[in-house]
Order: sequence, then structure tokens, then C-alpha cells
Amino acid sequence: MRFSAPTRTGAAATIGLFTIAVIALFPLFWMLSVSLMLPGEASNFPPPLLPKYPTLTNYRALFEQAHIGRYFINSLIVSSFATVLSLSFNVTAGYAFAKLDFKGRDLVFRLMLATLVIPAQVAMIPLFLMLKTIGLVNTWIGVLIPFAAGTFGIFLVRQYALSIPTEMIEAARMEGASELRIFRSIVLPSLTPVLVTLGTFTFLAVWNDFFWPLIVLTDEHKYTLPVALAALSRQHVQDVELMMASAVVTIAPVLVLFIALQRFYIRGLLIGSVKG
Amino acid sequence: MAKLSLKNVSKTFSETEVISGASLDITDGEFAVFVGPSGSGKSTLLRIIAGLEEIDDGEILIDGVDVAGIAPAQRGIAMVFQSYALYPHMTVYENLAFGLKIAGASRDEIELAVKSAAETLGLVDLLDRRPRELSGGERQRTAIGRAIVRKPRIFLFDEPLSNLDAALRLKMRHEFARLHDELNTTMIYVTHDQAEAMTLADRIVVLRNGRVEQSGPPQDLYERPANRFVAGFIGSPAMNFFDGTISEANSAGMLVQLKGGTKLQIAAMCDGIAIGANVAIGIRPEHLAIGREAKPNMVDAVVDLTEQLGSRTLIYVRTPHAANLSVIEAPGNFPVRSGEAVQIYLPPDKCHVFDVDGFALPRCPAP
Ligand SMILES: Nc1ncnc2c1ncn2[C@@H]1O[C@H](COP(=O)(O)OP(=O)(O)OP(=O)(O)O)[C@@H](O)[C@H]1O
Ligand SMILES: [Mg+2]
Repeated sequence: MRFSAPTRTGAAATIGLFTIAVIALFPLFWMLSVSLMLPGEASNFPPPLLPKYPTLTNYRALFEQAHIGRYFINSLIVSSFATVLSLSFNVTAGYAFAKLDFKGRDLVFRLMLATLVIPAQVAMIPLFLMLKTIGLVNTWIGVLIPFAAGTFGIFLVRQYALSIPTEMIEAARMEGASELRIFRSIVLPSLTPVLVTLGTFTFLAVWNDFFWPLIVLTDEHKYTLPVALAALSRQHVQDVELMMASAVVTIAPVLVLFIALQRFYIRGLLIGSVKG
Repeated sequence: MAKLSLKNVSKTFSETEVISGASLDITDGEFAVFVGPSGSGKSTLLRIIAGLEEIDDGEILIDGVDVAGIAPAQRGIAMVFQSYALYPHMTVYENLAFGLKIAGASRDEIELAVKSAAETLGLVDLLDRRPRELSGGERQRTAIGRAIVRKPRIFLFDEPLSNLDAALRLKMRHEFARLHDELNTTMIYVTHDQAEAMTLADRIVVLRNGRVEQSGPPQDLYERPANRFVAGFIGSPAMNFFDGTISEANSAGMLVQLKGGTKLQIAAMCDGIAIGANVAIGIRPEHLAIGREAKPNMVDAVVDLTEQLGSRTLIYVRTPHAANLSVIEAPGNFPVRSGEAVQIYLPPDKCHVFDVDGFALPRCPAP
């Protein structure tokens, strides 16, 4: 890391960014703070910034009475499987659209892009009916299957895979590598940044998704976190502190995931393969 | 080691014929160099030989065996790409080892092969580096190393030196010559560089618009170009051309009348070309001589500009017989001024004559 000498514009930018960061982080901070307050404390006026007597009561209530641990696990399972599936299908398809020659490739790709104009909400009812025919309603597979492959994911991977030099793939082909081997040993390592990006997107999308699991899941035991919390909030509209604690439980894992993976996002791994 | 024959090979990319009936023989252990203008199909031809492109017509034989339908990896060919195409996430060692690993070689075999290739190419200290930590020349050598370890029957190199600076190019050119001496494997090499082509090649293959214009030893192409295109393409600075008509055939060859009326004696045979036919005379810059009094076979010229290159002088002159400037290669520090009127002498036995279709007329046998 190199630091440049402080300049006036630099200082102004730093102060500006710092202010924005504080504004952005404040709600998160207050959420955490309220989740540690005693029931009713946050409803005082003016609202307190920090809990007078920090307590884990709300969390205990969440886990012991509302069994939020189970829903947490449910969400974790559904999101993880959806991520794995999404990576498997989108990455292979995106690579194929970018680098493999097959009849009708561009036509199929353009048709697929055309489906982007259909809003997801419109597709939901037909999708639900299809799942019903197959018998996947009220199953986790039903929840995660729409995420397994998508135009957006395929498009994202394809655009990135286009930057892989074709000659690198041909070099491996000339060395006798099978197509699968090329994919595994040459293509996947080059795609790491987009794998991380797509994986994170998918995980977040499934983790936060409310409407679709609400439609598909009828059995309360199978609820994912957002669905369970919605049900919970209907019973506990007054308990601001409890709701904040549940918000913390929902947000914490994705926040951790985001921070842990952010360094992978932008990194280009192709430097050095090609001259110039 | 292998010999390679192309028979009437054609390749069409979306309606445009990129290779049109190319035929070619390259013998075992030969160093063949493909030259030609940009877009003439050099890379495409290499890719066809490698098996990366399928052909629409014709045959490719390696050691007499038709390789149609044989996968690239099974052809015993290694290719060094124009862009090197190293695997960026692998070290130099892993880059060299990849092909052997796939072929199922044992650890010891791989280690031995990689070490020996690394020694040949001076890569020993770089084996743990990744491509992005290498200089251009080192990447280049890694790419060559990746080809060498597989012990192919034929090497293909597509403009391997095009991104290196002049000094490194020269050094690597010598490396290629040494490598070929050492391995004695058939090599095909594409370049834009005249010096590389002339010095490295056992055989130069001149391509234009997907056709083989001429193929032969460098000196043959230089001294006996089969047509006007090859004559103009091989040699730097390029051959000079003057337009004229055949005015008579005689015992020493023919007499050609230039546009201004000057007649030149040339040691080439008319061979079925009628008197009065339009022809072009070609002569290389180093065969033109500057004189100051009139003699036979001389034409008038005015010096336009001179370039002092140290060991030699390039003199650009304007003549009434050619639209462009003609260039003369004279000894270093040659005493001549811009604007000076001179005579240039065309030795009869150094002139080439091309008919209207560009084909060279046969030259008279030396007396
Ligand atoms: N995949 C392709 N699809 C369509 N046309 C192609 C393809 N590959 C090459 N061509 C065309 O074929 C012709 C020959 O290309 P090629 O790359 O073989 O030329 P080259 O002699 O190697 O040129 P350069 O000296 O610039 O490398 C060019 O006109 C090019 O546009
Ligand atoms: Mg090329």
C-alpha cells in the first residue's frame, strides 16, 4: 500500500466519505443497540441511543420461544444449496455460451436474453403451478429451484468468460486435456472473481427472499428465516426490541459473508497469460 | 520429426475463402518459415495444421498419414501461440508440466523433462514464478518450453517474437536457430520480419490471399522469384520495378524498351511472349549502380533523397520510367547530393522480367 501526501481535496473527500459512512451505518448500529435493550425501552421519548442495561433477553426469547435457530438453519440449508446449484448451472452454461462452438448458440442466447423483459412476479404463478404438478410444493427443492439457473447468472458468467483468451483453451486442448479437464483446470481458476460474485449474489437473494418461499412453503417447520420472522412480527408488533434482535440474526451472516469475500470481487486473475 | 504435406487445402470462414487450394511439402527436420502480408492466412494455415480448424477441402499428411479426424493432441504437434497463452494461475513449472500430467507421465518423468527443458531455455531460476511475474522474453521462453517438453514431431510458432524489443528479438532469433540445430525437429515459423525469415529458414513459403505463391530455400526466392509479388515481398528495401515493352529478342536475351524510349539489354528469355508485349523489369537496390557518364543499359535519374545508414547509403531517385521513386543501395557515405542528375546502370544479368500476369520470364543461363 502506498499513501499519497495529504491534500486539501483528499481531506475533503475523506471527511465526505466518513460522513456518508456514518449515515449509512447508523441504522445498523441502532438496530444492534435496540436489540440489546429491555422490552419497551426503545419506545421512550426521546429514544435512547444505547441500552441502559444491555441484555440478551430478546435473543434468548427468539431462540428459546420462537425457535428461530431452526429457521436459521433452514435458511442456511436452502441458501447454500441454491448457491451450489446456481454456480454449477450458470457457470457451465455461461462458459459454453462464451467459448464453445455449437449450432444455434447465439440464437439460444438471444432468446434467453429476451426472457429478461418478463418480470419475475408474472412468472411466479405459472412456476407455482408447474411445481404443483411435479409435486414440489411445500419442499425446499421447490424454494430453491428457480435460483438454480437464471438469465442474469448465465449472462454475468458469459460476459466474464469472454475475456478468457481462446488461445489458452486451445493450448490446453492441444496438450490433450479433455473438455472437462480444461473447464476444471484452466477455465474455473480464471473465473474465480465471477464465481465469488455470483455465489454471493445468489446466497443473498435466496437468504433475503420472502415472497417465493411464502408461496411455496405451507409447513411452518420448513419456513425460512424471513417467512418465520414475518409470522413472528404479526404476533409481536409491539416488541420493537425483539424484532430488532431478529433483524440482527438475519443480517449478521450476510454481512459477515460480504466482508469476508469482498477482496475477491474485483481481482482480475488473467494478468500474465497474454503478452502486452 | 516428421514430414508434412498439404494437398490442395481450402478453408472458408462464413463465405470468404481464407485458404484457397494451398499445397506444400515440408521435409523432415526442415525449418519452414511462412511469410505474407497481414490477412494472407498464415495463422489460419498453422491452426489447420494443428487441427484447431477443420478444412473444407484437401488433405493434410503427416509422415504420409492423413490426419483428417485426428484430434489436435494426437497429431504430435506443439504450437506456440502469437499471444503465448500461458496458464496464468500456474507457475512456470506447472505450465510446462501440464501436458505431461495429462498424458499420464509419472512424477519423475515430468520432473526430468521439465528440468531439462528449463535448462535448455534458461528458465531454471524462474520455475516457481507465475506468468505475470515474468518479462516478455521469459514468457516467450516459457511458452516454448511448454512446447518442447512434449517432444512433438512438429513445432508451430506463430510470430513468436513480435512483441519483443529489437535486441531481444535478435537474441531469441539465435536461440531459435540453436534450438532447431539441437532438436532437429520439423519447425514451422510465421513471421513478418525479413531478417528472421532469411536467416532461420531452410524453406520460405510466401503466402498471399490464402495461396502459396512460392516455396523454396531463401536464396532461391531471392534470386529467382517466381512472380512479381514474391519479388517485391522478399528483400528489404524492396525490388524496383520499371514498366516497358519487349522490342526484340536476341542472342543475349531480349531488348526492353522503357516508357521514355530507353532500351535495355536483359538476360531473360522471351519464351512464347510476343514482341511488343508489356512487361515489368525488376531489379534489386543493391544491383543498381550510379554512374555519371552515359553507357549502355543506363537510365537518367535525379536524386531525390539519400539515407546514410553507416555501412551503406540508400539513394532514392526519380526516373521517367517509373511512377515511384527507385532506390539504390550504395556503399556507406556515398558522395551524392539531392537534386543531382545521375545515370543508373542496370546490369543485364541482374534484371528480372515479369509478364503482364506477374509471372517471371526464365532467365538466360549464365554463359
Ligand atoms: N475465425 C474466423 N472467422 C472469420 N474469418 C477469419 C477467422 N480467422 C481468420 N479469419 C480471416 O482469415 C484471414 C486470414 O487470417 P489469418 O489470421 O490467418 O491471417 P495472418 O496471415 O495470420 O495475418 P497476420 O499477419 O495479421 O497475423 C483474415 O482475412 C481473417 O479476417
Ligand atoms: Mg497471424
